[in-house]
Amino acid sequence: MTEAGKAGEGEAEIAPPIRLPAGRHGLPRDFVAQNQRERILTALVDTVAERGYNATTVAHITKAASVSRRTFYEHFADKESCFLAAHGMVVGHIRASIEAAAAAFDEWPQQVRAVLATLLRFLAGEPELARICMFEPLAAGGEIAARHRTSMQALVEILKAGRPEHAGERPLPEATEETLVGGIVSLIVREIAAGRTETLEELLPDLVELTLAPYVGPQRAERVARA
Amino acid sequence: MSERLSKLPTGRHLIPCDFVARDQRERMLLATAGVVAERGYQKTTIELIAKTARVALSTFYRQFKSKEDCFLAAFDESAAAAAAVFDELLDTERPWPEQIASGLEIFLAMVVDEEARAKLCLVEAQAAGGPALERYQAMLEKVAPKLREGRALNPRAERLPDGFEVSIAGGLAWLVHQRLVDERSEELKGLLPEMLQITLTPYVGEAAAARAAEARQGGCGAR
Repeated sequence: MTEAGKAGEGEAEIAPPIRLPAGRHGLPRDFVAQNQRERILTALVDTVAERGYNATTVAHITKAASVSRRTFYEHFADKESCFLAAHGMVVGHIRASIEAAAAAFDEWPQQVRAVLATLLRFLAGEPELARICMFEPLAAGGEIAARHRTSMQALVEILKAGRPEHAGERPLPEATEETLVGGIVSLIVREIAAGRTETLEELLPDLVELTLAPYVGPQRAERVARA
Repeated sequence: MSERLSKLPTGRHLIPCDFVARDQRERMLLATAGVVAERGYQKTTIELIAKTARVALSTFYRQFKSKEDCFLAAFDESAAAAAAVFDELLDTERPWPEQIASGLEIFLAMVVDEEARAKLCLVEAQAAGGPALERYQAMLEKVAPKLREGRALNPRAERLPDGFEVSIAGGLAWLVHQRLVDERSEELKGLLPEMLQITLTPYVGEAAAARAAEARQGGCGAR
């Protein structure tokens, strides 16, 4: 679990594994360790994409990363903490890029559009990472599923900021944001499950429209979505 | 549950074989829901299911190939039972908004009364591998046509996005999912007015949806 903390924001690039020469090579210890850790994370991502989280074993990961079991356990307590580290990196990256995307607009509906566009573009461009952050947490259960729910909370907060846009006589139901996020996720997961990750961006107009409608009304939601 | 898990007398008796097998199967499916709801699918073992159902391991394997096989059977059985309840209680002659209100009310009451089965279908089905996830998704798709009927009440209906109903179904399931996972099931019944308002608004407009929700403010049981 401590691993995921380390993996926080920023270091989002998962580089292709480059194997360092074995034996004595005069490379600083930290550099080797960092390189090993990245190789292990890359191997985890590839293996999970191929086999699914539950069928992945530490042995698969060490083999794909060309590291020893011992090296693996020097970096991670178990498969779950390795997954959490990768998940934390991906989510940190997504969070940073959607925040940057939102900051480019002043109006909330445009911000939501930019956030959803950024999210879909990332997922479509990185099908393996899409599995790690949207799909496999459902299958993993336990701490991983709990972390997934927490990461979804970021979307809830972005939507909540739209409440002042709402002009109706009564306030929106408390559960509005949670329902919308659940709906967005279920449409995305449906595409991933059907093997259509690469065309996820086609969902954008629909997602924007159904997300904005409760706040700004159906006409304006449609205009923003189809602009 | 303890009553249904009670065992038939062992040894020679005059109870026909297929009755015994059916009774064992029922006990195993019930045990699966109980164990999975408590420990999660990943930590559920065949031994534990057999022990809880008070059957021998060999009995388990006579009926199921694997843990997954048994889980899927338990899902199918629960989904079929839920569908039967809807068929029986939902009056499809009534106006659509009222059908949705009753449908949600029935749904929440079932989740509360059968929490273990609800966890199996709404939470663990997403954690139990490909075929289970497919079933979960198929369940959401099955709800969509009933919601879609509401488009007849909406002049803008044909302009609603295509995946709209699936997203509503997925969103409502997610609300319940969160509360089941976080052990907040006491909140479930109180969700009815909000769920109803959220579901109806896109079809009948905010004011009519809010009125329908207020009429159900008392929570479940005000049928």
